Amino acid sequence: MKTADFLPPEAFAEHLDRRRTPKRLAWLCTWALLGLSATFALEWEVQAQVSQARQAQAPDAPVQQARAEMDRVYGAMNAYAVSMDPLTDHLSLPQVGALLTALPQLLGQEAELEDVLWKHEVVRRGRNVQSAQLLLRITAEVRGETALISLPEQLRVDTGFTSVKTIRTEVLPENRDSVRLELEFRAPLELPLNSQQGSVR
Amino acid sequence: MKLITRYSPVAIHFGSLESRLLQLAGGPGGWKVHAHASAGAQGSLRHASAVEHLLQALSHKKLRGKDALIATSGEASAVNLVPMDPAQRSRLQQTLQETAARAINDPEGISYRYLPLAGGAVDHAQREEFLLLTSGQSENRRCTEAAESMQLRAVGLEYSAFPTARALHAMHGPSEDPWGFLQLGMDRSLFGIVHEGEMRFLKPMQSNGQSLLQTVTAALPELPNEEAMQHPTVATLQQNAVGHAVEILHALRLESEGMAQEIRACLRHFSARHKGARLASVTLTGFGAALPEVENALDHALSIPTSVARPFSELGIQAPAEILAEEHLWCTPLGLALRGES
Repeated sequence: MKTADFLPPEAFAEHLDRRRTPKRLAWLCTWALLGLSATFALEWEVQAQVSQARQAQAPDAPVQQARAEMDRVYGAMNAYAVSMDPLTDHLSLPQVGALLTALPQLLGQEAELEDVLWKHEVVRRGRNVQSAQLLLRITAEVRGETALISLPEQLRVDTGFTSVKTIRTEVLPENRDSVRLELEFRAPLELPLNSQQGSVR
Repeated sequence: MKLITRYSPVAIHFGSLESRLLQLAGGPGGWKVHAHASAGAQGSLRHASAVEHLLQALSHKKLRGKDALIATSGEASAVNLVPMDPAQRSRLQQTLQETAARAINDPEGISYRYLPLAGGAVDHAQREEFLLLTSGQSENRRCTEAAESMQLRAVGLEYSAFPTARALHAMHGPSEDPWGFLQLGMDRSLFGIVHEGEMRFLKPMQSNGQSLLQTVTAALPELPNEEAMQHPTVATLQQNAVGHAVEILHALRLESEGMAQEIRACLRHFSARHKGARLASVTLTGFGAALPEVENALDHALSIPTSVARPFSELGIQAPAEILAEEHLWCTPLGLALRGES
């Protein structure tokens, strides 16, 4: 209801403003309480999730026990592995058996295979392996000049080695048609390295 | 348990016979009287005397520093209805100033406020009406100084009819029909009409509570003792009126008929300006309202439902017995206390 106030209207407006103060405080407190409640609820949720995550990451006691038992068993087995499984070592060696049987035929009908040497040639710098090659040296008596010239290339193609070189020739006084050759076969060694010893198995 | 107890501003009504102080506690959901006191004091210097008595009565209440809303009534304030032709609209301020200056004579000067009374769409061809309220500066100063001497902060000073109408409006609630109120003060009566929550009409009446009191006193047998004869109270009059209703009604016939004629003239005027609107009821307040048989006499003369105001009972405000016994006298302080409440 409109009224006629003989005092300035500001006086009553200020009075109304003062009366609103408790309501404002009540609203402020309500919002503060809501904010705090929301914060506590969020913290509770985060804590619950952290706890859930930790619980999920922690291993099961039976699983942990079984894993320890397995490690112990593997440790015990490793100590005897070399002596208990020679076939493994044998299979890890380069497969040159087929080459040795084929070599006399590759060298020619009248050739004589005198000596065969094969080895791994590994160049290391510290614990790093810079190069690893399979090296095969054979000494054989071959007959004829043609064989002398074309034999290395012929052998390279037939054996699949990377390179085949003649590193020594020797004329045989007792048999002038023949010559003793020392041939060196090289090929990259594609065998796995032993990680424990840093060497080629 | 309420976390925050709300208090209304301290309401002080400096009436022409008595000054009353009221403070409510609670809220719109449920008010109760927190502090109340009344002190009899008359004349232009009644404020200081009233304050002295009120302070004694309320020494145990913590009212210092509170906001106070004040109402005044009596000879130092006046209300006028000022009609204004559309052609004279440019002279509005001058007309109001001249009318206010004629209404009150105060050596310290006067202050006036005015309100347009039109409700709804204003017909520009029709004469406008303004309610002019004038108060002497000395009266305003005494009211505010009285509040300050009680260590209260005066934040409002109204003419008593407005807080009265506010309290009655709260009592009636939202109503489509207009309703009227008749404030029967000891030396001045006012008739007002409220429509759609706003004051639409207010006019001083010829008759007042004093003339009604004289009529009622004359109609009653002589009071038993000398003091009661010289200063009869409403309670003693009511006590003495038991069994004399017919005599009182007969005596009040002329008085109430004269008042009813005045009111009917006001209603015709109001009805003409508000598309034939009719009053739903008339509520009586002030000293004269509780005089024996006045309610019945006016009800009969007006042929409109007429009743004495009981705002505390109607609004369910918890109040002490002395307030409930004379609710019609506490309408103005109640209206002040409810100012600003939605």
